[in-house]
Amino acid sequence: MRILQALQTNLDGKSKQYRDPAWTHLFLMNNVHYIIISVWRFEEKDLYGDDWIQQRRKIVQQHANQYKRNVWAEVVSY
Amino acid sequence: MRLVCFEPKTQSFSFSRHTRPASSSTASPSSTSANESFDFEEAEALILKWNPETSAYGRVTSLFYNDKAEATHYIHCVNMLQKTMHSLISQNSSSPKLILAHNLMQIAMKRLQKEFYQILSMNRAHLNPESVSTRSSTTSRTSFCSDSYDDATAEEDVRQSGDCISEVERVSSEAMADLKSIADCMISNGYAKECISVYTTMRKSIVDEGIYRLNVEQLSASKVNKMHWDVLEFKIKSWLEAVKIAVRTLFARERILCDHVFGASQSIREACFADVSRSGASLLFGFPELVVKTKKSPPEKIFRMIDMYAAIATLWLEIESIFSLDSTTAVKSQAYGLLLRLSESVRTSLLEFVTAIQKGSPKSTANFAGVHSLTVQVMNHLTTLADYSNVLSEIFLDVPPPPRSPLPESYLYSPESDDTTTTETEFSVQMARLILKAYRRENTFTVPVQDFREEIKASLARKITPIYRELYETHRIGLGTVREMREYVTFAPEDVENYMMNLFSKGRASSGNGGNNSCFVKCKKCK
Repeated sequence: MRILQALQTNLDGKSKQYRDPAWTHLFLMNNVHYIIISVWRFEEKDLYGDDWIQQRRKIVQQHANQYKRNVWAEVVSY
Repeated sequence: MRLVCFEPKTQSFSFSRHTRPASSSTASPSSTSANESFDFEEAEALILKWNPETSAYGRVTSLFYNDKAEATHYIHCVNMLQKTMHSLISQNSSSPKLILAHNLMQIAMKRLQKEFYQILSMNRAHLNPESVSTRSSTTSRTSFCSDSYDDATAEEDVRQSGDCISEVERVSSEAMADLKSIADCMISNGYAKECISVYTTMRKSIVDEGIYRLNVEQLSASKVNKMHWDVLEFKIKSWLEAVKIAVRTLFARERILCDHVFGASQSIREACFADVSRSGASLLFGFPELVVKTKKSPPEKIFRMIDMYAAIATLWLEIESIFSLDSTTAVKSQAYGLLLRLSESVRTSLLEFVTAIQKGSPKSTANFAGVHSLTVQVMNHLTTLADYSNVLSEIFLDVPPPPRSPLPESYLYSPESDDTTTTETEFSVQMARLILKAYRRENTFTVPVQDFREEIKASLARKITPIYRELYETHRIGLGTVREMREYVTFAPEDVENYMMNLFSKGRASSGNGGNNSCFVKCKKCK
């Protein structure tokens, strides 16, 4: 059962509803972060392993960076 | 002076002092010559004394409760009477004495049946079969001894073990021993049917009452469908407690009691236990089936299914042992079928959960790009599922997974295991299976244009190989040496690269087929 995979696919779809790319990244950052926090609380977190957590942290960081880049881009363009 | 067993002179003396021959006796004085150790007249007098139809005393008094020694003697007389009848038949089948003996036997059997019923009635709530395992020999010996010998035995027991039999245990042990001696006597003298009917009627009512008191009730499928989920969930939780008590206490004790009372006959033991337990067990294991069939599907339902599965699985060894008889095969099959249906229901629920997530509308967004409610719901669901990971692992090992669809595109980007029940080994097997299927599908197409073919192969290799290598290295840490990995993981990253090179190559059809065969062989090893 790939429950998390289905969830991420769905969230990716929802994130495309935002016209502003910054909001897209913010949305994904928030939701992926929530997923990480929840997974961390699993008593069976070893099923995923720290590598899985680390990969997701990178994704969160990437979305955060993209969000900042887009926001500052608008500021700089004025 | 009280009656003492097997001492003719004393018997005669005490007999003449305490009882008188019935005036209706037609036996001749010469009868004693047939059985020196058996006094026919005495037996006749004793049996008539306790005839509930002609003796006011016999109607209101319990023989076994009133005078254990006399009860023991009574059974002995009945058994000797039977031997006398056999002897008389061989001599003269129309003897008036034979007719009298037969009539006495019928009177005695009615008496014993009445005693059997009384003991079952008086002890319906107190019989504790577990007490018999340690006390059976003592009780058995006591039952067949005179009072004087009984006293000596009791003292001896106290000295030897220093143990004190509780009053309740003693009463229970004695009752079970009495039941057994009556059953043995009735069965060996051709009155098994009368004995069995009393036993099964009495004990079945106790089992059915026990099931009722555990709040397991007769329900119809339509009634269950009409219940509000909260009500049904409450009943499920009640059932989870009931099934443990029913299996470990009610049915376990019933089995022990039946085996003890009818120890003399295996066929009777089997028939009696089946009659006693069948309807109660059918009701008990029938309830979860109704829940599985109900159309209600709130999110919490899967957890109750897992709970019921875990309860049956935990009790399985006991269920298998208690209902191990040929006569109770149907009950054991019902319980096993229940395990299968519950595990199937859990797997189906998880599939539906994934489908619901996939079909969720992409248009609904979260306020201020915050955490979406879907994320919260899914993670809450997963958190609870994680608490059941052990049971879920067992459920998913019950049946091999159905053939999977070809490798979905989304899988290429995020192949990590997100199944809370997949172990590393299982995941690797599934991964190997997925790659094999994708390989077979892709390899059925031929791309004649050289440049285009190379471009596609490079594209696929870029997507799949790095991800697979990353996964391979990740899991290798936990799985040990490369040699050990070979036992679990079919494809090394180099294998994946090699297979990619063979895609879309019509000219290598024969070697490609060979490759497929090789893959199949490896996958079979994994299974």
